[in-house]
Amino acid sequence: MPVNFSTAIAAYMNSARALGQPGAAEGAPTGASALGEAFKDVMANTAEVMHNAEQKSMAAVGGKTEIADVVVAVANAEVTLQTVVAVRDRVIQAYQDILRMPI
Amino acid sequence: MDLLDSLHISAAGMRTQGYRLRIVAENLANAESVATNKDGEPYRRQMVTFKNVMDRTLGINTVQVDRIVLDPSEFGKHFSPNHPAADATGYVKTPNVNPLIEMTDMHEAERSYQANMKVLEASRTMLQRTIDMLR
Repeated sequence: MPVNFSTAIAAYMNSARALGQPGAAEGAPTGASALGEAFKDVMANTAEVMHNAEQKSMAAVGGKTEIADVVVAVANAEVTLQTVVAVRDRVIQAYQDILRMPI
Repeated sequence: MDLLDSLHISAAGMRTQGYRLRIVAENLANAESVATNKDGEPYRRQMVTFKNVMDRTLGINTVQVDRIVLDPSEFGKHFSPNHPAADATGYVKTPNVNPLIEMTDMHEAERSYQANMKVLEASRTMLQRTIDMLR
């Protein structure tokens, strides 16, 4: 996919701004660190969702919870993980495009 | 997110319909459960009522089982003078369970469960397709 310089930079800055909204309020970090903070938050949230799904599955094995709840928890985890992976792939791709740029 | 909320709502619907089916199963299983002595009463049919509940943590309206009520209709009578539960005239009170009604109820619960499942499936597919757009 051909990506020119300005598009890549714009994509990178856009994602940093969009994800870094809560971090930007205090201390006004730079774009890169705001992105890092935002990713940390997202990862923590994702880990929590996955953990919840796992817990629900184990409870279902023990006959302690409804199958429908497990379905919802697992679907939730699936969607969250896929979103995170897709966004990560996109950001890394943009980053690599910048790195590969001939100067 | 709305689509994730709808997953929870559908799951709540499935849960309540599962409970309803459980009550149907209890009614059908006890369709022949008469009293053990002549003063006792046979099994009384149970009914489920639903209510709308606000889930405060998620901020959504879900369905929940309100309560189990007993069917006040009259018991049936069956002539069997030698039965331990027979009264002075030789009749035994039989449960007020009508298998035909229970079967209809069962089908209703089944259809409702399927409808909720379809909604769950649809919201999952929609979420999936939206994420696919990111790739």
